[in-house]
Amino acid sequence: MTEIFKTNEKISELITIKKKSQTREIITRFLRNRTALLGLIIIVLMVFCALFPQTITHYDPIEQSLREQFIAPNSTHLFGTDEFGRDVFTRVVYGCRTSLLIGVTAVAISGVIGIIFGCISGFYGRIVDNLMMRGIDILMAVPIILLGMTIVAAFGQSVLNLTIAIAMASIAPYARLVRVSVLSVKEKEYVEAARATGANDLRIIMKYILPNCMAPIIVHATMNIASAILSATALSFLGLGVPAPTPEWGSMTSAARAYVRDYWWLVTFPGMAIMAAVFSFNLFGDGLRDALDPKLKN
Amino acid sequence: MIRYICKRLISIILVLFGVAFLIFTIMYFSPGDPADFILGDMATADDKALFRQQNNLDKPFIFQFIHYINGILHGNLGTSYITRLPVLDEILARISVTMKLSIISITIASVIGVTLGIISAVKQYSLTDNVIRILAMVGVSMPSFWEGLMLIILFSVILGVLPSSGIDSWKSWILPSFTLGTVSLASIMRIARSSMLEEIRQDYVVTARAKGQKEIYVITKHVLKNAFLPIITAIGYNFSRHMGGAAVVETVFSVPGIGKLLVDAIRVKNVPLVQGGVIFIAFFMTFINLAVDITYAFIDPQIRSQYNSQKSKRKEG
Repeated sequence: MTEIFKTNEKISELITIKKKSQTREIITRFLRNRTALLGLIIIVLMVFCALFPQTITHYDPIEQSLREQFIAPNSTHLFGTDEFGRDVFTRVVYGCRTSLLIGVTAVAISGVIGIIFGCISGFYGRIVDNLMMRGIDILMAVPIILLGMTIVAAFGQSVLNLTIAIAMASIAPYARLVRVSVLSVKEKEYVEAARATGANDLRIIMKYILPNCMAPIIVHATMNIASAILSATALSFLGLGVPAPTPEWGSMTSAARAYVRDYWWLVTFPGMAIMAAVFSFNLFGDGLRDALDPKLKN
Repeated sequence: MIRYICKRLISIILVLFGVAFLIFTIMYFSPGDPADFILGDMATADDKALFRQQNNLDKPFIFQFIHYINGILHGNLGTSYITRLPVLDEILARISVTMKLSIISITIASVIGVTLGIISAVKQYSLTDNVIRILAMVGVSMPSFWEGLMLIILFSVILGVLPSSGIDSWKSWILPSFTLGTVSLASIMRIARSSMLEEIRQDYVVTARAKGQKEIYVITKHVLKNAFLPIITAIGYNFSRHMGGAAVVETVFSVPGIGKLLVDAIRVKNVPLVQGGVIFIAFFMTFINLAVDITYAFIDPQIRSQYNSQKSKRKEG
């Protein structure tokens, strides 16, 4: 009798160990991936820049000092100064705030809408699914830059409109992704069991289906931040995004275009910031995918 | 096969209708009166009323939309506010430039992308592979407008070998095409690599090697042939994406294509041109994607047999 108890204890010990190691294993797998770690470090740095830009630079990003126009990069102005005598480094640092804000907000909005869309579509199937997927097809048919252009052209140039435009253009992939995951999960036994206990649809979706398709959603969301930042800067470059004095990488590059022949630093540094941001989220997303599901590698 | 094409065509008509509705609605609810914008401050209230009447701006939304769809069906996308020319004519005058740019860039991207993908897959985990993969990652992460400006600094300003704008000589196409093609190059390379890797592990490759075939023959004749389907799809989708991405690249290099036309139209709030242009490009891309899908279904024996077997089953039943 006591032996049975002992083995039981041992088994339960084993089980708890296994439970713990699931998350830990994901974390160790992620940490072992050096490129993904690099991505994470850049992201953390950028978040710091966005939250506490004053600790990094003491210049003002908007105030002009026309005496200090076009100073080449040196020890006081790391990235030089622009046509209004503003410190480019400061503007790049403050630009983190704008880009991250737009990227994260757009992804959050499109993620929530896309998940709701995908859940309803995948869970209820049939005609609802058909209708909703045609709607998604329509959104997919218009390229993101053009949809953004249309929305900004119609409703005016502002950070909010830019964010909405990008969010709207990124709904489709979420909806498709979630729909496919829901379709693969909803026939599982535990969903049937939940239904047998009398759980309603909302509870089944929130409690049993969504948690089981979270991994691909998280990975896609991370990568989506990268592409959202890229589209936002592209629209700003076209003069359709963030209005003038706000430091933003795309509009900085756009303004610098006129001086590309004489002052290389004006174009170079904001673009490098965009690249670093996009690169880091891509690396992070790649690493996350490998860590969450090693089967997906390659 | 015909059933498949018909099915796709029907769904595409719905999508195109939806696209027209979406873009029309967004533009319809834009604040600001086109009459004020086009006629300027000097116009009297009567002038504006007449303008609204002429352009059907005083009618209800549904009427305007039906009128617009009717126009599209008759090949009329409206009249540009600025030049007073039909929107379709303005677009068609510019489309050849954008098409040329897209075709050159997708050719460059496909050739280099597939080659790098093959090298990368054959030498998996080697130094070459890692370098190519990192470059691909950088290529995807680079904003195209910045890349274009950097190329201008390097090749036009410092080296002075290539022009930075216009489309006067064959030289001026090099920088824009390469800039537009970079992202496609990287993504085609990734697809080529992963689909090559998938095939390279198959048993038939071992068999081919065991037969004593030369490695180059095994790779090109056996592996590449089977890995080609996803690559073709990737090329097709990237090509259609170029039509949208052209707006940025054309602006950077002052290429007078459809993208630049749209960007300029937005700046002066030329609603019919923006509307017509976006709808036109979306239509165009949808048809390219349809062509890609049909080609895919046509080449892929699995899909083909799936449809054929359905047919034969029905015959039996």
